[in-house]
Amino acid sequence: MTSANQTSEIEYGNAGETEESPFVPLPYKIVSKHKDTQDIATIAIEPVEGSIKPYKSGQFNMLTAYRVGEVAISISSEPTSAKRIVHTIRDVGAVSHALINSEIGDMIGVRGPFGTDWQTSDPGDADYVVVAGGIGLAPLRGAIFELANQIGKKRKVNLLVGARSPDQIIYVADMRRLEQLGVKVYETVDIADSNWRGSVGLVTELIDKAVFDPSNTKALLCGPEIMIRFTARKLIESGIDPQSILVSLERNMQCGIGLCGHCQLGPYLICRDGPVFTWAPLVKDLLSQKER
Amino acid sequence: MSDIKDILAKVPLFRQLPEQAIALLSECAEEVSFEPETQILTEGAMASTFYIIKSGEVSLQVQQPQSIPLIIQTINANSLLGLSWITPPYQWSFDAITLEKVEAVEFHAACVREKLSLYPEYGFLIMQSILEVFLERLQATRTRMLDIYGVTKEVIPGD
Repeated sequence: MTSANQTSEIEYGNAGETEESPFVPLPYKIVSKHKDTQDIATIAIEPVEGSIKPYKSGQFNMLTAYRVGEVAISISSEPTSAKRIVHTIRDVGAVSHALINSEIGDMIGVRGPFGTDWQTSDPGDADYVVVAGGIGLAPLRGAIFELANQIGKKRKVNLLVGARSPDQIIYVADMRRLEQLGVKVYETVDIADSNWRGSVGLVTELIDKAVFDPSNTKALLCGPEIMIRFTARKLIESGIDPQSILVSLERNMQCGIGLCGHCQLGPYLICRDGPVFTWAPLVKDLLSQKER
Repeated sequence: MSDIKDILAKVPLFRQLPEQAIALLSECAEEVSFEPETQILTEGAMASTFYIIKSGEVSLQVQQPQSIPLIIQTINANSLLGLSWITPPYQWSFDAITLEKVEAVEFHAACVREKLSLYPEYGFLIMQSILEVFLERLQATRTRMLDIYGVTKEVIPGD
């Protein structure tokens, strides 16, 4: 076992329903767009001719802004039979800038889905603690809705969200929907004025508020890697099995299928073996070492 | 008084303390409650009390002359509110305002300081527990200073 879920491993030459090269993006049209924050936008896209294979929560696509370039972006929609895919993009460079400045009706290219997933399609009876920092909520969105829609009477699902400031919190409307579905949502920020009614402090401080049975709890973590380390440590202190903690990592993903080696982290290629890994024993030590 | 002892014995912060140390603390403590929007601590005022929050949430704030106050941190259930009572000049550095109804245990600082001096063997253990709070908050503050949610650069294929 080298990754969180090997069932979704992508093999060369098998990445698209069209059986074309995995390097050729399929054309998708932007059908809706929502500006989440000053530099983050969410787009929904639909296929124009041929669609990518069904995806699972936690996987990513390579999105092409034509004539600009390609970038790896997590899938944020809940896996359904619908062809519509949601991506949330932060404006941090030329490609992401072009993507979030595209208009409804514009075409983009899509390759994928790639990588491992959160394993939330059949969550069993475990409680969940889902911890997201900043735009780290985007790769978790599909998984949280999957869990919320299967919440039942026994399972407790906690969503802990950390952000720099209240105006940097994404999916605000989604969080109110999740609360209606029975998810306990806790938000904290680093900086706020007295108009803010949530918590102020590190996201790890929210763990004390969450209600879960540590002996039967799974944790999903995504966000800055420093946050992931501190949060994993605190969750383990709370009694959660380190092997029940899944984390999503981000590196320079270029080919998406484990060929180019740009996304290497220790013995792993994040695009192929990840992005979702079990915390222990897989990545625990790698995140506190300088990469060479 | 025995109620207070039971309450304190269940506070995670005091979980390592022997019964005698809990008894000493309980001699300086009483249960209190505050309505939402109550100012419990005031910047510059004498730090004559401190609190263990049993339920509810308190906001530590700093005033800005030309704007609304900034929140430094929120203090949740089972946490300690108030640290400035430990060392001179015993003055609060921030305001503390309840965000909702708060149930708490209030400690009389002078009484606690006196117990710590009179019974140093327990005083050390009590201070060790309180030091845990200092350490946690120092580490949290340092981490927040890193601005970990800041923007990362996009990597362009070929770079």
